[in-house]
Parts: sequence; C-alpha cells; structure tokens
Amino acid sequence: MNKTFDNNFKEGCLTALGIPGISLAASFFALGALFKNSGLNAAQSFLSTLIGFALPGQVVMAETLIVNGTLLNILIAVFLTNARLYPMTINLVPVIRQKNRPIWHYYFLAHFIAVTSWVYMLNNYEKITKESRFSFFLGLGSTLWILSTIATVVGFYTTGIISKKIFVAIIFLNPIYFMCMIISVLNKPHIVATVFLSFILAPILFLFTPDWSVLLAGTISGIISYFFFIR
Amino acid sequence: MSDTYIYFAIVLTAIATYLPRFLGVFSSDFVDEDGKIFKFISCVSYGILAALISRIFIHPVGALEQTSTAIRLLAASATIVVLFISKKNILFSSLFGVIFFGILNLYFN
Repeated sequence: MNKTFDNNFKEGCLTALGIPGISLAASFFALGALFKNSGLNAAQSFLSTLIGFALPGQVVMAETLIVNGTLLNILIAVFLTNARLYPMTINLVPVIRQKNRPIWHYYFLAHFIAVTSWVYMLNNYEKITKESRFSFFLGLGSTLWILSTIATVVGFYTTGIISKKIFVAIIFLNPIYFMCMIISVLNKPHIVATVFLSFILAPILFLFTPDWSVLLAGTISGIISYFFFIR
Repeated sequence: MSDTYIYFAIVLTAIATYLPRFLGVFSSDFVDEDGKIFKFISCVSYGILAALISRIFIHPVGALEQTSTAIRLLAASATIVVLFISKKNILFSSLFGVIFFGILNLYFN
C-alpha cells in the first residue's frame, strides 16, 4: 500500500467519523433496540450488521421474524427493500473506478455501499481527484460499517435505559441528515425535478402499493426527468 | 423461534442485500461517468432516495410511527429553512432538526 492510498483512506475514515457516522450510528443504535425487542441475541444483532449492512433490509428481517414469516418471505422482502442498492451501485462505481484496479476490489467494496456513504460520495466526488476516490470511499464506507456494527450492539444493551422521547429524536437524525445532504446538492435541473417529483409521488403510491412505493416513485420520477432534461 | 432459524434469516438477509450490490458492480462495467446512462441512473438513484426520505417523514415504520406526521413535517420544513440560512451547513442544520423535533415531540405529542 502506498502513502497516497494511506492518506486518502485516512481522510475517508475521518470524514466518516463526522456527521455521516453520527447520523448512521444513531439509526443503528435504534436498530439494536429493535433487535432486542424482536427476540435476537447480542451475537445475532452483531452478525446481522456485520454481514448484512443495510438498515431498511435489517428492519424488514426483524419485522418478518416477529410475525413468524418464512425464510422465503424474508429473502424476497429484503431483496425488494434493498433493490435500491442496484442503481446506487451502478451510479457509484464509475465515479470511483481506477484503471488497472482488479474488478474483485469493487465487489469487495460493494459491501460498504449504503445510502449514507453513497450520498456523501456522490455529493463530493468532484472535490476528490479520480485516483484518490477508491481509497477515500474504502475508508469512508468501512468506517461507517464498523461504527454501525458497534452502534447496533450498544443499542442492544442500552434498550430501556434511554427515555423513549430521546430515543425517537435520535432515530430522526438519519432522515434529517439525508434530507439536508440531498437539498444541498440540488443544483442540476434534472436532479431537482427528480427529487421534487419523487417526494410527492412516494406517499401517493404508498396508498396503493406500500412495498413498491419507494422503488416505483424513484424510477418513475427518474425516467420523467431524464426525458425532459437530458435526452 | 430457534436460534438456528434466526441465524439462517440473518445469512439470507445478507445474501439478499449483497445481491443488488453485486449486480450493480457487474452492470456498472457498461456505464461511463460522463455518459447519458450515468445521468439516467443518477436520476433514478436520487429519485429513490427522495422517495425513501418522503416515506420516512409521511409513512414511517417503527418508533417514528408513534409520532405525529405534522410534527415530523414541521421539523423537516424548519430544518430546510435553517439549511438555507446557514448557507447549507449540514451539521448545524441536522442537529437543529433533531433538537427541534425532540422539543416538539416532547411538548405536543
């Protein structure tokens, strides 16, 4: 590993320890409490974030376990919930791609692609040189993953200690952070149009198809904006 | 529910989570950073993220479900105002949003 890689990696780690890490850890802290109430033990909670690092899918798993859903139910429900990671990954990899880097590095790095790391990278990649992006993202994503795993276990053990009102406020940090991040980059017409359209469409579609509303709203808004502003 | 069943559920969740990431890396081979497909995928990705945020604010699941929609939307709106006043200071605005939401939820929910 060369010195430039180390420095970019460190920079990514330090970035993750700021507001991206705080907001994500807050959500995983809440997830730890949910896991405890769902009947998982500490080792299972730890393992879940370690190998299945994507909060909405983990919530779906816990909720399906509570209602005694089958393993097939869990597989399908989690896949549908996390299908959003597919376009996000396609979007991110060309940004961090480096010539001569083996393809398996990207398959390894993919484990760290989640909304928080994706939003940060997509909002800031133009400030980072092309050669530095892979190592920066590796530092960012892996630190967020470690923080989330720790926060899940802490949340598991501290359930009931923190007042419910404070607990709910902590959970609110993550969506508020996502909202601030997304609004701060609304400078391209096609992104502005997509975001506004999707924000309105999602709750309407939720009334008809709760499971598909997020994917459908995002896809429909994206297609409309693309045809109006880019094509 | 046995421990083994839960471990199976966790492993299946991990597979179902990694699969879209794996397919995403595979498909990204055909996408260029400056191309139109990249812009199209950007639109869809930002759209999905906006839909996710909208859903959390309007139809949340879990603990947020027990809070008032009006309070969530009021806190989000105030945060947007603060974000622009603070010249897009994300840290300050996010903390403001959470504290404001916490206060509203404490006194009016």
